[in-house]
Amino acid sequence: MSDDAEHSSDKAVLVPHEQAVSQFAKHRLAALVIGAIVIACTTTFISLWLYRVSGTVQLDLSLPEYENVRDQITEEDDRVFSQDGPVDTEALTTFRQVYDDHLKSIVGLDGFRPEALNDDALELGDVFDEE
Amino acid sequence: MRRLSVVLLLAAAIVSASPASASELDARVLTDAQIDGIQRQCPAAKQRLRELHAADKVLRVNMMQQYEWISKRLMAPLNSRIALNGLDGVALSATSVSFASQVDAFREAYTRYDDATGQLRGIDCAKEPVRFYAALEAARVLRGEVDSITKKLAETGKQYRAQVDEFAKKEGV
Repeated sequence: MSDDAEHSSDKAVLVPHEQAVSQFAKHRLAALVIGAIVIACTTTFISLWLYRVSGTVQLDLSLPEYENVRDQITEEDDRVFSQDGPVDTEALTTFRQVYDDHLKSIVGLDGFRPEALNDDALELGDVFDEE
Repeated sequence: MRRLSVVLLLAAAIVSASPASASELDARVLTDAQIDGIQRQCPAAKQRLRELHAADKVLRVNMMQQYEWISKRLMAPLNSRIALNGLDGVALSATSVSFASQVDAFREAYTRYDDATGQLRGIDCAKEPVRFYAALEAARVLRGEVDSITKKLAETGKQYRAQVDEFAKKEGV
């Protein structure tokens, strides 16, 4: 009598588990597809987050909206000033030539002047002239 | 009633003396005509913002390239060469450290500005003209900060160049 009771309680525990396994077996393909989609979404989210926080987004000119300005990127200088060697007139002359070329491009540059966001620049000037 | 008026006046005086209200007062209060005007000009303003964004992006890439080149491929090798030759390049090293920290400041300031202009472009000025104009004023301040750092970088670059001449004169090379 007690053996029967034990068997029936084992059966009661195992049945839902077996049912679950059988349910998973039935929907295995769907579970794999959903799992793959979840993994793909997670990794895509992480990639886009890294793309943004690393500052790469500010350098990326691959979008179609930047097609017209892409050719304005200056090419990298291939001249190299080595840290090895003597500090003599020739070395300093070479250094000055390369340095001056690069310095020219950052001195007197007015690229980020605040006026570019003025009302007039955004064609809002008339709105505030009407005051 | 009189007591209530006194309390309201006192509250108004306290609020007007606080720093938060000072910044609010600095912000332009738009009239109905101006709000209408912004809504009317919204497509043109949005177009100008898109063009400016593209131009800024190119400028940021070009300038960062120049800054990195000057800092890492010119200043750093010259400082190392001077040190390896046992010469005194302390002033040059100090200026190059200052230049490098300003490059970092430029990168951070540009990121803040870029985020602000991104938000600005995301606002529909036809539907939310007041919010659009407030975001525009915030973006102007941040653009001013970027501009200020680029000017500092140019000055530090010139200072380093002058120090190279001083070094050459001192060392007789």
